[in-house]
Amino acid sequence: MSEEEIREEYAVVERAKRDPQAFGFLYDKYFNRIFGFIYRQTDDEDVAADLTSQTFLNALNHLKQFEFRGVPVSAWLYRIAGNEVNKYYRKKKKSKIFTIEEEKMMGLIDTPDEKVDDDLIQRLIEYLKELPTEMLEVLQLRFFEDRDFKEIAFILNITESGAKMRTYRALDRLRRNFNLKIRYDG
Amino acid sequence: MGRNEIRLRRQMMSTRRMERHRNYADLMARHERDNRMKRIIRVFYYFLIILFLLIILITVIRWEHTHVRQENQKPNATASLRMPARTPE
Repeated sequence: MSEEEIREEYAVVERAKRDPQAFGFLYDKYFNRIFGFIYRQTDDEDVAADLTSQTFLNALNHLKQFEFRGVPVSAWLYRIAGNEVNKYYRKKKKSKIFTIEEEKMMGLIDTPDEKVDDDLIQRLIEYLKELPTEMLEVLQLRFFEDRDFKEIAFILNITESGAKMRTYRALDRLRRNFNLKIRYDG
Repeated sequence: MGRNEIRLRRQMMSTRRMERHRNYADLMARHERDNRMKRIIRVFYYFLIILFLLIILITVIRWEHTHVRQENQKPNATASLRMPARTPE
């Protein structure tokens, strides 16, 4: 996302501070992405709908505290969504679920004949299960949500170098056992 | 069982299905409700602060009133009593 586009979004936020109806533009633009992000972490359509609604409501209620940090408004929404998901799991006392689409999973592994069998996918899933949650979060945001490192750092409230380090370590671990298509680009 | 639960999905949820959960009007209504609630809570806090200040004011006035009354009840003139010295018999 270009600097100009980010500035345009912030102009919308400034407008929405005076007139909440203006927030509708951001709601329309990011609803599906935020819904998908939450759905991947809950695997429950109704819960995802509730948490998405709560995310946008929190954003709208705290619009006045929102200030320009050089990242798209979506990063701010992802951060609120992540907090909502964590709050949900803390309340339910359950361990976090990560849902990955088969297509995305296949996109991770590099095979000579471009065919990925179920065994390989199962092995990868078993391996991902053992990764620390913070590494999975970073992988999810980088490769499944296509966020850049600056945004990931903002979303997870860590430094940019911290986000790069976590990604590098996660990919390094995976690469020891699998041929990965994706490259570390930090 | 590993540290995380990973589930595999055949496909991402369709956009149309996501659209079913989109409801901006409801969001605005909830925002309005929250704002109204915030205003009520703010007014309630102001009321509590004013009540607290009033209680302090009343306490000070009453204390002052009692203090002045006590001061007024004290005799103004002082009298000294001198006992005559005893003479030995």
